[in-house]
Amino acid sequence: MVCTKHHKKGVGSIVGAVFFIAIALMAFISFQLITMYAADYQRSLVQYNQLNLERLQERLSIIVNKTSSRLDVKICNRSFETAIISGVWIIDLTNNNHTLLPSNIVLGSGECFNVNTDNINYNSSNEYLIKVTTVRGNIFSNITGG
Amino acid sequence: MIGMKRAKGVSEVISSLLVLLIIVSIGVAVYAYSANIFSSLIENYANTYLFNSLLLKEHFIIEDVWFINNSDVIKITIYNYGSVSTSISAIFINDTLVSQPNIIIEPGHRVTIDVTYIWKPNVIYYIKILSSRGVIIDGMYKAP
Repeated sequence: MVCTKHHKKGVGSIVGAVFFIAIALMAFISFQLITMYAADYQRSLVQYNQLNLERLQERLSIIVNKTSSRLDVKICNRSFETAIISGVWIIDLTNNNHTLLPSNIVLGSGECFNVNTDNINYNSSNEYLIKVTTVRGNIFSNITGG
Repeated sequence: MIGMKRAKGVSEVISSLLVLLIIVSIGVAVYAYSANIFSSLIENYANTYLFNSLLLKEHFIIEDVWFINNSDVIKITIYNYGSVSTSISAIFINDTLVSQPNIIIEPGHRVTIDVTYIWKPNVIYYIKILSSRGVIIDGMYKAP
């Protein structure tokens, strides 16, 4: 009789313990998953702040020189960060004509680059706007006289 | 006497089985309830964190706006400088919806969208781009 009672109590405890462990395991896994998602969000936030900081520090100067036969465009990196130029827009303001010169030029700190403008329809009497886009999302511009 | 002992033994077995059945039923119910709560909790957190994480990675700019001469077309070039793809869901000019292109721009790429709009020379237009995640980029552009 004593033996049977002990046996009954034992089965109930084991079943209860199994459910408790299962629920505790589920809670632990849930917590781990939530922590993982939160860590990923934190990483994204750090990257976002880093991009904004680098973006603010980016400085490019555009030197434009018009000659009778061609438009000379020189881009110089004036910041401490390396800049990657994703595109150069040559906009003829006189004729309202926009030309994109796609590029993937990497400019180290203090480096300069001469843009090849041979393919644009150049007229020395026209006014041009030069826009330079970087991979960090900055747009730098300079304008020439008519 | 022997019959009574047998009867008592059978009822104990049945009662034990009943108790076990009740315990298992309660256990299953509690487990199912907990599983439901935890899964909805994970889903909520995952959606919130993933969505906000993607929002932080989505960056795009209006790179160029070209009002085409003698036409009602405006070419808007959008550059994605973020680390996730962007879906352009709507374009507004002067707060009027003019296009719903649903164009996806991959990171590091640009797309030019032609918008039909009757523009007038020397007028400033307020152009607003809305992504499917709800990011808005806007700017003022003067027609030539």
